[in-house]
Amino acid sequence: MNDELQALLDACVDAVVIIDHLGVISTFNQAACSMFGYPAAEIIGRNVSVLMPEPDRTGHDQYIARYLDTSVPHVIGIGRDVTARRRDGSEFPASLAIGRIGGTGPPRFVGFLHDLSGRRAQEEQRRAAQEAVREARERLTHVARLSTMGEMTTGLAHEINQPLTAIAMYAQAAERFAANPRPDLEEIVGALRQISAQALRAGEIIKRLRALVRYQGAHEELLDLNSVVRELAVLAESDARANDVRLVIELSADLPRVLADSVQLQQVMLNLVRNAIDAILTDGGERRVILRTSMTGTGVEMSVSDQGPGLDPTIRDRLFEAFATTKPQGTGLGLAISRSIIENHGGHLAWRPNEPRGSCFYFRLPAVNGDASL
Amino acid sequence: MKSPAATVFIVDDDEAVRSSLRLLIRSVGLQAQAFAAAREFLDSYDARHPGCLVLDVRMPGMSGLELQQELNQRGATIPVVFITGHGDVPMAVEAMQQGAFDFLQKPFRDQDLLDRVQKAMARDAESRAAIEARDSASRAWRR
Repeated sequence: MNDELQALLDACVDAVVIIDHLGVISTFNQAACSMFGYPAAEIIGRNVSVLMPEPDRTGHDQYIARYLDTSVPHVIGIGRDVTARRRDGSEFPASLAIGRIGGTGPPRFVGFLHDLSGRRAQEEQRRAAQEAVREARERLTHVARLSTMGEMTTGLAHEINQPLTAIAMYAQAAERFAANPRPDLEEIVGALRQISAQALRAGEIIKRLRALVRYQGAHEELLDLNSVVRELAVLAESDARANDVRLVIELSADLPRVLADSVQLQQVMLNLVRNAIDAILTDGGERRVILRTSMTGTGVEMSVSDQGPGLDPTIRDRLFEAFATTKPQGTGLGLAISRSIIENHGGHLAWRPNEPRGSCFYFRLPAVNGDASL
Repeated sequence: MKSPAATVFIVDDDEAVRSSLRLLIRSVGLQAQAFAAAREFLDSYDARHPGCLVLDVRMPGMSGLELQQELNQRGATIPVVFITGHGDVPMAVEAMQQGAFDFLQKPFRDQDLLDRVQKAMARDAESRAAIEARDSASRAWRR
């Protein structure tokens, strides 16, 4: 063998093994030595089958014989992933390519082996990491949903207290007016009318509360995004009012429906509205948050925009990463969870600057086509 | 000049709560005046007007607590009865520390509210009488 060829073989990162038509090893490069743990002097002259575990170990001589007989290649020129065996008996995955060396004498074969064990381990690790992230995200989503539901429930409990308080006072006032020897019927009838109006108001709130409690986990159905936004606005109203922020709703008529879980969508919207309110509170921009729906090319868009300070460039790239936050009390989970919810719906959540200032967070969901959209 | 009749001032942003409160107070023969916002009340309030204030803690714009602070700064002595929602107890505690007369959690019994209002009115009458007595004493002294 000339020097150039020898240098080529030794520089090769993959194992190179040359055998004759009987399977006897004639060349074994340095990479092969370190991959298999054999010194070249020890392995040259031995049958290549020692580099394989069973059943190939026993079958290899016949593989060669069959090829020489039929000329039908099974590995030659095709390559395949195989299991190889080191000198110490341990095994590792490798990808094998074989070429036939031409010439007049009996055929010889050159094999290239690439050790896959590192790659396999990496893939294994990456899969495990992805799995762990997915599980963590699911747990977070669950926790966030519970706490959002807790907050929504508290908000509704607060809302329901108002009509109840009013009802009690109207009734008590009416009773006192009635106890008068010459009762003022007009006052009494007025109070009774108010009582029934407030009872209906309380009933509406309870209806929403029940819809929340009934929620048993992801439940996708054909939804009108506009009505989801309207319901959400009721839930977010007390939060907005307490911060002196007005919710402005601009809904696009005749939106196609989307297949989604309404509670999860409301969780996302509530999160975006909260963020918008927080942004306004930090710099006293115009005190209103706009909730808007519109059609896009292939779907529908829902956006929440504010005229707060907008986004600091340093946070823009990490906006949707878990634990990235600019708020002193923030967990940095809101947007990360929101994005995973929207992506689970086949949609996309993103940010763009708002005109003339502030932020606009929006998500797009694919529309459901056909007659199902009623 | 004869001072105006003692009035229960009500400030609550919820229309139903506000009007039912006013009706309840009127049903026991007291004069009541209601406002939808703290600022609205402040704009028309004359400290010489006797009475008490029934005030919602949580309101948009100026909150009940902020209104109380504003009144304190102006040196107004009007007794304040706070009404709070569920979970607003920390706010109520703060209000009491700032010198509120009392507080009630929604929903409450009519009699509980009326008792507190009556007591607050009595307190206001007492403090006005005390101020009047002191003022006339100092007037007598100067003579």
